[in-house]
Amino acid sequence: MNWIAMFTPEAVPMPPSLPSPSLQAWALDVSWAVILAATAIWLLSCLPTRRAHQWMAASMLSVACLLPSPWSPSYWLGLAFQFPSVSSCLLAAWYVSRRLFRPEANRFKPTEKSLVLWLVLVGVGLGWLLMLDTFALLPGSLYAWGFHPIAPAAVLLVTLLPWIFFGRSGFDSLLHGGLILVLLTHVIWRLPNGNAWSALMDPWLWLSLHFLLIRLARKK
Amino acid sequence: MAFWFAGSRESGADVQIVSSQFLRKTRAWTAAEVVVNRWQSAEQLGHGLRRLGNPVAWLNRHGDIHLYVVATGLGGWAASRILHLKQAGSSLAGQLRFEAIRVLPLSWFWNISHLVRTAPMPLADGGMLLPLYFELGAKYPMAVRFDATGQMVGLSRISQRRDLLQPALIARSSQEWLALMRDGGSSHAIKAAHTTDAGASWTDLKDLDLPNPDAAIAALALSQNQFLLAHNARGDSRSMLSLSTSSDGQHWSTLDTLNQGTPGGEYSYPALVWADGKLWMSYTDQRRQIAWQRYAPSSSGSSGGSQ
Repeated sequence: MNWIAMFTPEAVPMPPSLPSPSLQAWALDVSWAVILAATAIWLLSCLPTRRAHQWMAASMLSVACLLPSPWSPSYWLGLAFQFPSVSSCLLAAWYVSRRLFRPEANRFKPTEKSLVLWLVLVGVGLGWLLMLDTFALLPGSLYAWGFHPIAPAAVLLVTLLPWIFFGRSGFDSLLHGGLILVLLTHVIWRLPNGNAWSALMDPWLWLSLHFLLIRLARKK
Repeated sequence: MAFWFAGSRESGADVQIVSSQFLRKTRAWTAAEVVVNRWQSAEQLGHGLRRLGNPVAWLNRHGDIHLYVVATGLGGWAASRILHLKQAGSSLAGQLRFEAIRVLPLSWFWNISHLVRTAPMPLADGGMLLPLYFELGAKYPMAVRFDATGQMVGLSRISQRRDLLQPALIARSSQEWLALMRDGGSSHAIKAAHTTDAGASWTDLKDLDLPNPDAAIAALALSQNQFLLAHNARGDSRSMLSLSTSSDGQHWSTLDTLNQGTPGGEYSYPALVWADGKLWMSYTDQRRQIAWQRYAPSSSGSSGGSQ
């Protein structure tokens, strides 16, 4: 099998289907609304504030994202950062729902911490590769591969490696379920922009993973 | 039909994309009209666009005009993205209008620092190859392929060098294409790369024997062995603009001097197009107005003017 030809962007047999402009505009508002709500709750929970105030701030920011263009925070966040990744959006939604329905549970306790470490390492490494690719410091064009129909399957395979090698002890239903949901959202609707790497991670999430990696390393 | 960006200054808040048509009947250009407004396009996209510039037009086989326009995000030109617009309705129905389709997804890093400048290269399948470039820190050329309907089908990097920009594409055959590029480095020569597998892979070639004062060029293939190049012929200034010809795309001879002035003068950013059996070219004249010239193939003379 000629792997080089297979992964050459021009060898893509079908055009990469990009999301429809109307869906993209709607997704921009919704995703930034969810992320702003989660950020507001997290920031205010670090301060001595009442829960009601946290929810009020989160709700106001979310509703503001639905305002007409120049009045909406998503209009300006889109100007600066375009679309958040599907992963960031789902993580934010998960955080908000957790604070809403299980406020007493302060910390997420995955069944397998080694799996978290594996995913964080894969995320940080992938981000560095994509950053090097942006500045033409890699020989090929990694971002172009993200439009290939095989890309989501390849991502799924890499993240399932611990399960494949270590069986049940390498599997966490919440983490793997979340990842499958991210990839399905991308495959079905092509969000956020038709590229699998952009669906999986954005630069803000990548930066956050560095802090998480430092925390995990210190705990070890 | 000609498109350009116009406003009080480059990257100004009031810059809009304007258009003018050359009417065969009156043999004159129509008054310039605004066809893309950043506020309207931002409204259609759902997110802001800070500044506009560098429109590149493509007429597909269905007669629809697509426009690719530099639209900056948070920051200056280095934070540019490429906005894809499509003609809304028919130009025969009255005023030309464009609808924003999307910002082209070109990189992972907030999709910044990609610009267009040079004309697309039409492909046999009805699609085209749009040359573009990245310019934040490194400067490198890229090409994005579109199908006949204007759907993006892939992207690739043209050169491994990191000081080249504004690639101009010409085809020597269905598989062999040449990219000529502005030199953003210190060697002051036009750079070249080629592909023999229809853009799947590109190889850098040795520099052309033509100077380049870090200035834009324009190339056009009249046939598989007749190419034209508009370029600034001095390595130290943009004060002379020339038209050169070649049979292989690598060895060029001067055909005509289009304009030249004092050392501080500037005739730059040329564009070439073949229409109505004639060569049409435009360029900016001293950064104050747009000049145009038209060449008939059998005569050495030309006609032209400025707007």
